[in-house]
Amino acid sequence: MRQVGVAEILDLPEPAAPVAGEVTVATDMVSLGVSEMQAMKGNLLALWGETIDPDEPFVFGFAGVGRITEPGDSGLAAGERVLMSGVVSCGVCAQCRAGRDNLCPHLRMAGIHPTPAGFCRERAVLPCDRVFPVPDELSDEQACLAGEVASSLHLLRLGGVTDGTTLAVVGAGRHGRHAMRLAKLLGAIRVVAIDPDPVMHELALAAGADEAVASIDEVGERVGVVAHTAPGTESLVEALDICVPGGCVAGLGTPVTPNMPIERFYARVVKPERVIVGSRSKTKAEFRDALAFMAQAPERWQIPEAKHVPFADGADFLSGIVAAWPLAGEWYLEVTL
Amino acid sequence: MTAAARKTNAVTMDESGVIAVMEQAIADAGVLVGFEAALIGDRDLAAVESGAANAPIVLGCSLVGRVLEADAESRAAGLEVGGRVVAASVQSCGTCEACAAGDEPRCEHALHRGQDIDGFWRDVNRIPASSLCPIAPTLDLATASHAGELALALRAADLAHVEGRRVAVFGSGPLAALAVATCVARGAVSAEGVEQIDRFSERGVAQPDARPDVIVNVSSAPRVVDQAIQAVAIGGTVATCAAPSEMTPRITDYTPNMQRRDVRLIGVSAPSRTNLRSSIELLEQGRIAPPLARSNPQFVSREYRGEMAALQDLVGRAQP
Repeated sequence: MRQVGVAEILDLPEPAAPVAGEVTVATDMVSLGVSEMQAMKGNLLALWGETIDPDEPFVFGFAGVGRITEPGDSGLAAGERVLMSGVVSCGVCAQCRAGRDNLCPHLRMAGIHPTPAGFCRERAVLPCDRVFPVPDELSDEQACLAGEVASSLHLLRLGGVTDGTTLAVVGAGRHGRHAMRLAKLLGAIRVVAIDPDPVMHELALAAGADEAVASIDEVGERVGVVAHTAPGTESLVEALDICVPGGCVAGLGTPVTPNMPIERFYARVVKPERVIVGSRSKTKAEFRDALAFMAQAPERWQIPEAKHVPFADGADFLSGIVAAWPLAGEWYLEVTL
Repeated sequence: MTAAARKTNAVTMDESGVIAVMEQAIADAGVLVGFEAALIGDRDLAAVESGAANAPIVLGCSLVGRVLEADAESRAAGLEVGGRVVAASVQSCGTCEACAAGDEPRCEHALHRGQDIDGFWRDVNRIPASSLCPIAPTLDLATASHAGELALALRAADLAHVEGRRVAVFGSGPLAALAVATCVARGAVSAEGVEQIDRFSERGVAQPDARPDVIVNVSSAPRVVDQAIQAVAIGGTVATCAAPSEMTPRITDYTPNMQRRDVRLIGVSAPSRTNLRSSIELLEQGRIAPPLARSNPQFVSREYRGEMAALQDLVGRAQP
């Protein structure tokens, strides 16, 4: 993309040869989701105050799967199948040194921010700490999901989901359903999906939810943790009411309204000692962990909503999507190179 | 007790928020405890600020007293006639998972003294033996009266995991001072009391690396919750104690200030009995000294009738 809203296939210079600590990967597949669409429409660029430099075009692809062609000193083998992560952190700040690279103040998302370039290209050179071997149990399509799954894993960990947890998930979209699948693998004993759309209930139940309801008011017995994956300030605050004392609402979704009043703060938060925690992205370790969790039960990560497009058709397809945006239902695209 | 003595004076608040000393009947069940002293703590002020939702109500979430009558059960619990005790501020079911784990504030049926149910500020109280903790006779009244607030500070420090982290305590008064001392005792790298919160927040904006990892907020001003969220470090924790029930904080720019920084906001309501016992231990060992214990104007003695004006003044200041 050399300008906002216009996807095109460009003949770009080969990436510079890898240096120490870097590898070259030949891309097989990338996944594109809502964030890429927001980037393409220019919404995120406007939010961040950034622009696209036509001489250094925006390259799509936050997550991709490929094969190592130049392993360098990484310890990986040539031909090894890897997941490429678009999370770019500085590696030297206090957060990065402590393994909380998701909180790096210099964090950028390749393929969502204008730079660095994403992975929707034939070859990529990137630091070896951003590539993760893909377990044999997972297909390329499934491995491409690991970035999303890692975000849901980060959310559940901040919420404290563990063996025996009861969990409600607000929003049965993609991140919400990943959270449901992961929660079961983490040992959650009850998972309630909350989504106003009855179509999503079927998907939620297929993802491992024990029950699906339309609103927070319909949740019967209170839960230990709420994973909030939907936009909406009100539902984030209301989710506190379905937590047991000491329970936690972990929020991944972006509220529609920026200022969030917490009415009945004493009764909702202070007296029952509840917790609200924001959840940002994922760490490198969580990318690796997400792949391992998915490999435990690959049959759970089926993706019927995915549309598959060959690379040659990708630009036209994206332009068509943008013209028709917003689309009804879910949207997820996998581009095969 | 004689039939004539089945009434006691109590500091009560009515539906209009008026505080007065009234005569009240004494309950039949529980250990009979004579009032000796109490601290007017932040939770007491928050209860008054919250209005009279459960009025008429006897005020007071804490108490230092002497056992006046003890039965076999209370003696088995180490409560002897004439012995000095402090009382836990939460009455819980005693049978649920939280209670079994010694975490009574998280009992689904927890009731807070002086807020949900009658408090302790009366000459004579009947209190369940399980709510009483004996204290050493060597502990003076002024020091002992800080046990409840110190226990709350301990709970805040533990829930916020202050060990190895930089802490700031927002607010003023005994609870704030105790929270600073507690965080140090619990292994915080540093703990700073902050009364000039606006100035502190400005400094945090200018020097992001100097932001505290944990902020313990004991202020009842709604905007301070928001200020604390903005002032805490990335990945940090804000623990808020003793908020009045009518308080509606507004989190500004939730997404950049909280969600994208993994910031955690936790509520801290009241100490458990385990917290209270730890607090007594720290006071008895002299490891934490209460601030201004002897001269604190918020200290209530048995002569509280004579100090009603001071109490009314404190309450007046607390009202919005």
